[in-house]
Amino acid sequence: MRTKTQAAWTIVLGLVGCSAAQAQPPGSSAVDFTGIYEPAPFVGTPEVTQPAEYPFTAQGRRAFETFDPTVAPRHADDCAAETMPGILWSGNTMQIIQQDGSIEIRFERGNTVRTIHMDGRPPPADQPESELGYSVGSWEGGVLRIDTTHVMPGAIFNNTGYGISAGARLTERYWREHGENDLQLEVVVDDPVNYTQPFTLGRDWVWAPHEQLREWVCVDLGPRDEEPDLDELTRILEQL
Amino acid sequence: MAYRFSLAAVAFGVLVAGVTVPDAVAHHSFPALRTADGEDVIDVLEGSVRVYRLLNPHGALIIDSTDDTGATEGWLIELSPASQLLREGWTEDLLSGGDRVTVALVRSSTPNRGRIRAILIHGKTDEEAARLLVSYGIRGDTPVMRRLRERLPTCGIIDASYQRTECFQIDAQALQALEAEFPGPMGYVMP
Repeated sequence: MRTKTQAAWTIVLGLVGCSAAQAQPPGSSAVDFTGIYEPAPFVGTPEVTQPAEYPFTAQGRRAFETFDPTVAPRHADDCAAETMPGILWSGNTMQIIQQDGSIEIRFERGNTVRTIHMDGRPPPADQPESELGYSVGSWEGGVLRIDTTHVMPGAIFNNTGYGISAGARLTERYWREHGENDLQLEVVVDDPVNYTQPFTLGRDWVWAPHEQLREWVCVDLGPRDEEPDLDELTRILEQL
Repeated sequence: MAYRFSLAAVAFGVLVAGVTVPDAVAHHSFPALRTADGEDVIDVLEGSVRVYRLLNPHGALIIDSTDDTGATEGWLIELSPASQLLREGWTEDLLSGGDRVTVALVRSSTPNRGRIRAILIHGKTDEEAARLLVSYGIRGDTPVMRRLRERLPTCGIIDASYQRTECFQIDAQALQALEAEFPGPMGYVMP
């Protein structure tokens, strides 16, 4: 049983402004996506577009067919760190903050913060693998492109057998349809270890100027395949 | 006091129509206890609140339930994520230690653990109305929710626009009428 109360960083919308969609940051093709977004339907499982059939390699199919959810990281720890690309399918709010040289994408889930490097430099040669990988962003017209590498091996969707390897490249593209503030997201997954060819996933984020990111106070309530130690859990909860 | 029911499988991890979605895009599935027919098992417990906290990825309610022999056992009842409940209007002071409750829960495959379906928070006095919060497995525009909406006033503390939880006020007379119409422990929140 583990308690993880991460630093409070509730972010009030007033800090980012409600008319962000019309502002233009420096750069010929950059668009200001600054703001808070929510899934639709809110706080639920977002609608994700996927290929009709995943182009598994033999290794990827084997991993998929033999996947055991009881050994997935989140089965053992409710508060396991969020990972790429799993965090992209979050059913909680998300905030984009654009600043000089970088973009921050903050997710309510897990108080997760991604840093997108916008200075054009590639990842350092000794860049280690990490849960969120290393992300480099650029603008393609009004589209924000983010290339992420150096992710840790895991799953495309939490607790599933759709594998992702450390050598995968994830290319996200965010854009707005004309006259709208909602964000469209398309992700191209290029992972030759698990899939014979790149494929595309997608979802949208609804512009939510009324929303905020709340602190994600996470407590692991213990393994679901063991009888809970209620005295210990009571002690933990009473201390919160 | 504990009572047991079963019902057709409840979808844990609701998926979205129109596109294919992996089974666990969001959080992990809850391993429900099943009958031989593959149905979920629902228990109804009576007891008192030991501790209640709004947390992620699941809120926690621990109650002490007393059986027919007078023996007491603790139960961990998982709630929806705090990120969701706080937006709907649940508050940290909705329940306090010692509050008397009746809880319908979907049983986990592990002992003394389940997920909330509905909770009746009894009034602290005979005159004080109880509050009935219904959520998991019956939320939204469901027959159970419609049945309750037709008969009971809401508490006014829950934002029903999320179509998840709803809270109803229920005085002794209304409770008696519901129990007569829908027999069995918490029969009014059963299919």
